[in-house]
Amino acid sequence: MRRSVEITTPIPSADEVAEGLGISKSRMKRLRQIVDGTYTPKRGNSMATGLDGRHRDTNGRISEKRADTKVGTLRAEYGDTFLRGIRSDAHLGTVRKETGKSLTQLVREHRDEHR
Amino acid sequence: MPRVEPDSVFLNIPYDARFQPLYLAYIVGLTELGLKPKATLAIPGGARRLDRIFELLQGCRYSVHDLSRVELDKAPPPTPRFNMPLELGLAIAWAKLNPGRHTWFVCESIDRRAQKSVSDLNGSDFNIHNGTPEGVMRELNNAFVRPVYRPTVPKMMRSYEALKRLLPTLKSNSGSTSVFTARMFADLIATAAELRDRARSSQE
Repeated sequence: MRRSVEITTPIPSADEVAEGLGISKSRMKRLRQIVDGTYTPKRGNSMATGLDGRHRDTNGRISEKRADTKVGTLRAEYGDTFLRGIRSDAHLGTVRKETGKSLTQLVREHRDEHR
Repeated sequence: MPRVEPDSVFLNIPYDARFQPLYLAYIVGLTELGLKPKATLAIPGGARRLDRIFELLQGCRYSVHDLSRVELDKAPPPTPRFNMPLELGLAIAWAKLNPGRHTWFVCESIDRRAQKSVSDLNGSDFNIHNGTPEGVMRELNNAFVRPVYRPTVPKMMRSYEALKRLLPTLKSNSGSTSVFTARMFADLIATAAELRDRARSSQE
């Protein structure tokens, strides 16, 4: 007789699953478009590897993350331990202001720390 | 003591290209059953990695340990993979010390091989998936039983095939070349949940 366990917890909806994973509403919307087959990638090299989902502006600079991006969203990109000790609902703008560092610098420090 | 998520499953699997079909199958299977897969993909390397893996495990009510990759790695020097048995050991110890807080399952592709490779576990039940996505779905369905909603293996396989078809677009969307990244893992789970919800609503 194989071992089995009974699961009685309610089945979370896709939105609840996404929220638990720190997936933003816009990212979930894009995933739904992919399921629908209506998603069209942006022109150019916008989703190239190494850009962490950001795109290059027309002048070649990597676009800046919005100041109201939540730390929880950034953790989905850079790992659960990114900006450890900071609330997941804190805004990137606040973190930038308090540390005086850009997102690029914070990511670099995080990667150096865990190399 | 860390808070235990009652529906979370620590997924102890190898991260390699050959394992990709079963990796997708575990994600789809667990999501179809309304469970939350957790993996160590978001945990960086370094001195505290093992502590963080253990923290993740402690927060999960269940764990699934796939020992089907016990072969020697071809890259020199030939080495067996010890990470999966190591994490299984952590889970067994955690479950022994905290009865009722954690339940572990061991999956293998070949019947009776685990009895040889980890003979100390003789007498335990192993879930043999035969190295196929369908086998993974079957074994997950046997291990985790929902009294009200119980998806069939063919239904789970339809979601698996749908997710597999979406994989190139999902990878392009996340800018990933591999499925074994924290972002892809999250996107795959959310997409699998969306596919499940759509299939359920079309049946109602």
